[in-house]
Amino acid sequence: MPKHEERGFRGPRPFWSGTIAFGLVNLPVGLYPAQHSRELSLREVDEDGTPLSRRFFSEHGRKPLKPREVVRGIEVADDRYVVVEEQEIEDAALEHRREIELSRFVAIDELDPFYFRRAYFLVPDKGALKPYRLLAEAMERAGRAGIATLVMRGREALVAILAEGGILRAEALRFHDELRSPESVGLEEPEEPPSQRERQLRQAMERLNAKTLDPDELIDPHMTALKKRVRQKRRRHEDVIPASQDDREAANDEDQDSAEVIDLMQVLKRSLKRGRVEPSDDRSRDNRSQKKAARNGSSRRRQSSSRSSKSPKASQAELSQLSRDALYERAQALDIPGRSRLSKAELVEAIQSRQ
Amino acid sequence: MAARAIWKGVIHIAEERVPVKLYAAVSDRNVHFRLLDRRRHRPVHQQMINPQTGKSVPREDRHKAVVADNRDKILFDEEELAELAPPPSRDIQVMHFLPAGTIDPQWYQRPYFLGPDGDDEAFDALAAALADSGREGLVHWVMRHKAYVGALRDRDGHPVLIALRHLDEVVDAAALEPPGGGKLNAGEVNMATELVNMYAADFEPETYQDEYRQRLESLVEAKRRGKRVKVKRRRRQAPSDDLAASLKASLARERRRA
Repeated sequence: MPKHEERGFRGPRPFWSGTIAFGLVNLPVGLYPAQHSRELSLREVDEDGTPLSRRFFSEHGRKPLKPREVVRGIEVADDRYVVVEEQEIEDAALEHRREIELSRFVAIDELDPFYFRRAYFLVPDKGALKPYRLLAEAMERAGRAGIATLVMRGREALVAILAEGGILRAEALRFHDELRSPESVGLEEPEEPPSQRERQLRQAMERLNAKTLDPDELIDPHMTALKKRVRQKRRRHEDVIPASQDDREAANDEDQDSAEVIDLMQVLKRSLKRGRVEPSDDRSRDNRSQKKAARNGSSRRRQSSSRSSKSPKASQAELSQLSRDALYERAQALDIPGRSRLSKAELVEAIQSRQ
Repeated sequence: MAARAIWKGVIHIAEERVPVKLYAAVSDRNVHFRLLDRRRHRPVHQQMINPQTGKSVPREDRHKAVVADNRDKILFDEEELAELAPPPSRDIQVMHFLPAGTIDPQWYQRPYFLGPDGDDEAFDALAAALADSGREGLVHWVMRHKAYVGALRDRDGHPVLIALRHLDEVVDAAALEPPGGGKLNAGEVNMATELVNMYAADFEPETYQDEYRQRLESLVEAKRRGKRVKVKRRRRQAPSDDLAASLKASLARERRRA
């Protein structure tokens, strides 16, 4: 698809895009999450299989509150609350800065794993492949990681940028005051053990020595069991509520879209190879989703115009590929009330209706 | 003030047993707001509704479902899900000990401190053996109905446990290819490496503050009394085309500074 190559391709948008300033060298990049959603997630449904939505109610109200009837607040005294308006919270957000100044490089082994929160791949923009390769090569040679800050969704994030096998990755770090110390937890320094005990333990450890990490060890047995049970139920037509005609059509539509909308892995592969191109054909994309929205009788997208400057719109397919944490961050940026209590599917729904 | 342990378990290393307590190493410092009913300024409560009828659905009529690609729903009830959950256990099973650094930081999720639980000698022996080994253990455990995989390692003389992400949660970096192209210019690589080394610094995470959180905190404080706050913007840079010149100029600039 040569046409696509020129315009960029559709797929998950970068979580953040901007420029790395390394000395006087500018390197425009996009950040993509290195983590994605679980293979299976559970939704709440009623007896007919209709997915349920979470709504907020006032103390004695029988009708769900509309979003504008819900507001955030803080408890100022027992049972006394003061309202905090969205605008006030937005004003606390940091000025958006599309720059990462890379001017501190620490030795890799100095990094403390306790700080590591979440990883993002750095993907070069088209035309920035060479400085990207150069920076990665130089960092690997020096055995150093860059420490920098960037503003993500109104919030400053501390990141360590690591180069591994020619690929740059940003590890979002926790802030120092989010970590406890052994002293603050009340733990004392371990004492000198009886040498006999230590020797026994050392020997036991040696018996378990291995050289490499077997990826199978990282499989979640719970997920495996759930997947197996799902397959079994489908095979036996047990507890399966078939999709309605409308649902099936919607699913088909999404499949057709996904012939063009490529997944995170593909985006990463292509962008690393050729550089990322900001898609320029946003109009056709929006037309299509509007058409779809119109057919589904939904007009929720309207709200989008006022906040379009903040983050690009994402389709349900794109959103579903994000992890719950990534979705949560978006929900936070969109100021979705009650987001901490929402499941992944609910977050997708809420984000779609708000963007 | 001493924190409370969040869980107790027994580390199994081959036939050795080390009873431990887990302590959260991360504290939640986020500002939490309550959701209020705008009119009455009272906390709201939540219910699950059927979006088509707008009616709320009581707990006994709700099910959990996996939605398949074709939108079929496969229903589960609570007992069934409970049966699929891993059986409760106090064991923290060490599968292997790997050379430090084998577990890529990409897997790291959440750190815990470990403390002794009854058998101090065993705990001290574990601390000493871990600190000397230059290795980290890959462990499995089940906590509150969830299966965890973790790294058991030394941190400044204290044994710690870092919960890792599961295989299906992480993009496989090994399947990605780095950007390719012609051979990099050796002179440019040297200059870039030199620049990285000139920027050498110590890891000093305590020098960074979460400004957004601080602003939220002061907002909350102001609110308790009754006030308001304000914001600005910046733009994107073009990629540098003359790499060698930029690197040279950057080096010159840093040398002047030094």
